[in-house]
Amino acid sequence: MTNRQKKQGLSGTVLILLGLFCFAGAAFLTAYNYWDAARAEKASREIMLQMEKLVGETEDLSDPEKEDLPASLSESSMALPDSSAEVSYREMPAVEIDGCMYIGFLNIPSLDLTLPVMQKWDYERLKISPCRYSGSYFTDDLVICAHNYARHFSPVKGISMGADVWFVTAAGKKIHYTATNIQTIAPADIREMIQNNKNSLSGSEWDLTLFTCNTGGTTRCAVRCERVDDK
Amino acid sequence: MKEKNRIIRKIMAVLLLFLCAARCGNIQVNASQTAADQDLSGHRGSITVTLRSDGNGVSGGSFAVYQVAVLSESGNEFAYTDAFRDFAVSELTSGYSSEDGVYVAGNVFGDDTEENAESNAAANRKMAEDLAAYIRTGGSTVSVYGTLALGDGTGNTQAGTGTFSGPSGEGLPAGLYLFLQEQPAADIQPVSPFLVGVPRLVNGAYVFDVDAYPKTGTVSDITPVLQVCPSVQKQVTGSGADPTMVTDVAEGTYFQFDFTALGTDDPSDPDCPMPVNDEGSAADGGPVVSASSQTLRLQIGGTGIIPVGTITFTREGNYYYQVTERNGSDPDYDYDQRVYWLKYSVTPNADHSALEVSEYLVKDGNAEGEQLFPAENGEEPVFTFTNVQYQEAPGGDEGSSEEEPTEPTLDGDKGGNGEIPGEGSAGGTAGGTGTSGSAVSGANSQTLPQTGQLWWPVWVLAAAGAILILAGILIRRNRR
Repeated sequence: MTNRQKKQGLSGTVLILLGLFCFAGAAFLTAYNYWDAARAEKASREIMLQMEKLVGETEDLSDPEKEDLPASLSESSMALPDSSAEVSYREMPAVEIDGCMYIGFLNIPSLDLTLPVMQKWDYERLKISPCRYSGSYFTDDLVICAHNYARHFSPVKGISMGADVWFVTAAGKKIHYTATNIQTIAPADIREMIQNNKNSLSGSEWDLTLFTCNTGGTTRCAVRCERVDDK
Repeated sequence: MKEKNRIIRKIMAVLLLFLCAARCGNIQVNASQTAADQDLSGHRGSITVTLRSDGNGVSGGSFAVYQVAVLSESGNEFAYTDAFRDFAVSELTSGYSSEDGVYVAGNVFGDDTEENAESNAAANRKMAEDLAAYIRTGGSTVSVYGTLALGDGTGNTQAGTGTFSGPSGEGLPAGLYLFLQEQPAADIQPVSPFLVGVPRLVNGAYVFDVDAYPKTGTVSDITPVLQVCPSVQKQVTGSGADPTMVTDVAEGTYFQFDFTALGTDDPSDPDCPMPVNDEGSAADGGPVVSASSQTLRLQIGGTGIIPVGTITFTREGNYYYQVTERNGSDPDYDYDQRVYWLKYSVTPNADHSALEVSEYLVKDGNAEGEQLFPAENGEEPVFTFTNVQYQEAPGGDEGSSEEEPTEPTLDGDKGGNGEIPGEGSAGGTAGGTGTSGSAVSGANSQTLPQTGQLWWPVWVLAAAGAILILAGILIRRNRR
């Protein structure tokens, strides 16, 4: 065998090894992602178990016709007024669970999804549950972000228009929304994400936004919801 | 012919009254209800005030009565009296223009409907509080029109009831009257200022003898709590790349600040007590520009610290306020856009003998903003506003100026809760301090958070792996 043939043989072997190494990396990353998603789902579920005790008995929220949840926290001072402008100064009530503050939880019956929502966001908090990104349900401009874990906001990207979305506050008050629009937003377009443009002639009008990354992570999928006044 | 002329004159009178709609601080009455039905100018009336607690008349107590507005000479509209003419045109009372005045008048004159009764009552209450604040700050010389003492049940008097028919009992002309309690009844909570209008519209007709039943209740044994608000600190920096504090601001340069009540958690009692500042009015060299039931406006010349005042809390609850700097129009300055949000939580103490401020929060921008006080380092709270000065100073000494001092014209309020995260310093000015209320935290506030799992590297690695393996196989095959 000539030197050239030996070198070729060696190069081929190296390339094959590198390829196998890449496959191993892909496999490892896949395993890690599944593990991370499972961990996040478990973390959220544990938080929800504690939240149910603090906020009230959890009834089957898949039937929105049922009565409001009984609240262990007094909600006499937390009544949501008709005019959001009147209470723009109010803090959203929050409960503390495992050292983190939660403003309530989301329930999307059509996706069989119930998730707690933290009061503030950072990357550590996002690993546990969806987080409030900006705004408030008092001012109808609440924006919630979450990772696209399999049982966090990944299913939200496929939500049907008109699907019911419920937000139960830490005081036990249920707020009813319906999904009305899905937008794709560039990562740098923060203003587009958080301003609901209610008083402008153009731009979307919404009361609640849920967003997560699209596949690839180069854009954000924003699900816009409008509040339904149930009387 | 004469009969025909008389009819024509009557029709013209009705039309003229219908068309007259003068403004400039006048309170309008619905002409269609007054002109054809009754001539208000010739009538006199009275106001009977009854104070009850637990269904019983309350003895004692007295009120000072102010005549806020009377029927104008034309007979078809109400005009503020001279004492309140400044109130009518004050910038703080822009809500009492003729249009809003109709609602107040409508409420006061009994023109309530199921839909507007609550909002009318709230508007009425607010106007009464603002009028009282106007009288307290001495915006003009306001003299008392008369006094009313409530009966104590002896002789012919009825406990808790008194009738006011004018200073000399001659009867009240049609108008709007403000009642301020001078002396509360024993063991009874003070009555808030209230407005009563004469006449009152009842079932489509005007009634000139009007009844008023102001709310009251028994005095609580719990001691109120006095809370001293943090002071306002004004700083001025230069505009260079490395701005330094300016201490020598041009004489006659003033900066103004608003301490504004936002509300409470109790929808049935949304009113917040306001701080009382005893440092004097701006006209006398003090910091107080104006005061109302919702806004205390303060002023400082140049840099320094001014006290806001002391709030007396008499009821438990959560009270919310906001502190901002008013935007001026002096081109030599950029004004601080910072918004301070305050919350006071007032609760009874352990033995319920007194109220106490159990929680006190100051946040940046709004309710969801970053908490500033209590600060982790125990720093005492102060509302700091920093302006950037752009004047060129002689000898390159940044910050001092020998130009003609100018008093900035303050052209309006800035509200807002400081959203739009990721936009850096207030007002976009170099050297300006204070961020707008940041709604977004996190590692990178310039872009939306990265909320995706790393799946794309999986595909990249898999594809790269496949290509490398294929290449390796091909190379080895070619070798053979």
